[in-house]
Amino acid sequence: MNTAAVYSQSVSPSINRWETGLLILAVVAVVSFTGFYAETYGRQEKTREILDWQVSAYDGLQGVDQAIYNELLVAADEIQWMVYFYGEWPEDDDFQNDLLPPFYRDLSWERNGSVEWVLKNVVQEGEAQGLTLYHGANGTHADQGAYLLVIDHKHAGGSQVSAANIWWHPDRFAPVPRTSKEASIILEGWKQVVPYRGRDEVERLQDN
Amino acid sequence: MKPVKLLVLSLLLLSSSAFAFKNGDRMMVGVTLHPYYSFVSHIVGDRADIMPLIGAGYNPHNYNPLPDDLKRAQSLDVLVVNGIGHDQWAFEIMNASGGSDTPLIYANDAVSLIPVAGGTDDTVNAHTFISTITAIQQIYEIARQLGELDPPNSEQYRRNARDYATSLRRLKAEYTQQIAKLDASNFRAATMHGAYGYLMQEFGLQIVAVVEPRHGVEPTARQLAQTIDDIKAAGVNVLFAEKYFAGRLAETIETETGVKVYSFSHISDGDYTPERFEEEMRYNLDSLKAAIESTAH
Repeated sequence: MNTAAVYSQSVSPSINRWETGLLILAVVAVVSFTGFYAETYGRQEKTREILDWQVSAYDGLQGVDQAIYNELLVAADEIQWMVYFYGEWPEDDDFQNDLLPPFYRDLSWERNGSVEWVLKNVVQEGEAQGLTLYHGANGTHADQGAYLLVIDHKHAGGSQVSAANIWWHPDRFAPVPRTSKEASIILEGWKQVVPYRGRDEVERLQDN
Repeated sequence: MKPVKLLVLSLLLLSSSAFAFKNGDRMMVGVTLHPYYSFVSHIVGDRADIMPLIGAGYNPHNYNPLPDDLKRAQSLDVLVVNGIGHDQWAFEIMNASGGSDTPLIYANDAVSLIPVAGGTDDTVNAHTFISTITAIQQIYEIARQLGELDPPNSEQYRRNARDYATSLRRLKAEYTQQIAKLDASNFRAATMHGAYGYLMQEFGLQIVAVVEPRHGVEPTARQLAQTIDDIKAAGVNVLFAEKYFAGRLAETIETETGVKVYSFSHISDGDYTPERFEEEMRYNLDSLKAAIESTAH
């Protein structure tokens, strides 16, 4: 019967430390690149810088406020077209005839808080043409705000640019601002609503 | 000016106005999606021609361009696009056809976007064409830009756009009367596809969960199991599957959770017709109404 001697010996890899070092380096590189990529192309790119006196329609407004804002944005466009076609600023009767939200008083309006809308034409000192304000307040939802659509007469009926501005106030009972000057509106606690529009998303997609 | 010169000048003027577009005096408007076919049809009436960039019956989420698409692209004077993630293949087609100079109308230029409701991140919801409010905004944008390309018809495009917008508002009002009367206090909805946030928003309703993890991507087994848990935890009682891209997932979720399954139309299948948008919106609103009724106490 043959017997064989068994030897056992541990052999360390000759470049053990290098492999560990390279692995750490690779992990650091991957983490750094991922961080850089997320910072550059991540969600922050989807919202413009929002200033203190502004609020984002994309992720600042919620629920009813966001829905009314989107309706107001379309209404702003429609109002300017109504001025173009009829030469007059539409009033409540026109909105009811044209079923134009958020002014049209149907069950959807009730569900969005039955906001009361008031039209006010304002001519500022030293200017021949003024502004038209549509002020919405006294909604029935505790968590909704007040709304202000401001349209500059100089652009009304024009075909190129909507000169409308939409403002939001966290207090649903906020009254009509005393003057229509921007600084004054801001001092009274109103925030300009900044949308994330299709053209912003197109730019983001093209940049990527 | 001598009569001959006058004649030559007149002929030049006539020819330039008669052949302002590739196919003569009529503008050829291309569209990428079914709703845009309906919108443009109503805006231009009989004053321009419309051509879908791709044939009917393809899923716009994973479309691969075909040779015929290039031929169609070459004949267009302008192309109306969604541009925010739902028809990125259109840019490939236009570039490949040598039509990268063809004017594009980004229908969503002025639309205020919202994130995918019930989604796991804040991805932009590109489905602005499944709602009357955002549809009207796009109709006005398209009319405005078509008018700039075709000034003699600009006024008519504006009028047509307004008439169409009014008819869409009537459609919405008709269903608002019916839906708002229903008791929606127990309505907890999930959708297979993250497309219906704008539609729900205009009726003051919320989506609790979306089954697809990303736009047009089916969930893995693990993600599906998680979604089923989420649906149970959130008390979801209605699931809206897809009318045109129906899979077996909805059945699985129905079996596992007991939700009632209805379907929504993504408005991206069937023939391209002027009436398609309104027909499919009616389908969606009927489906929404039935779903709310089923959850009412």
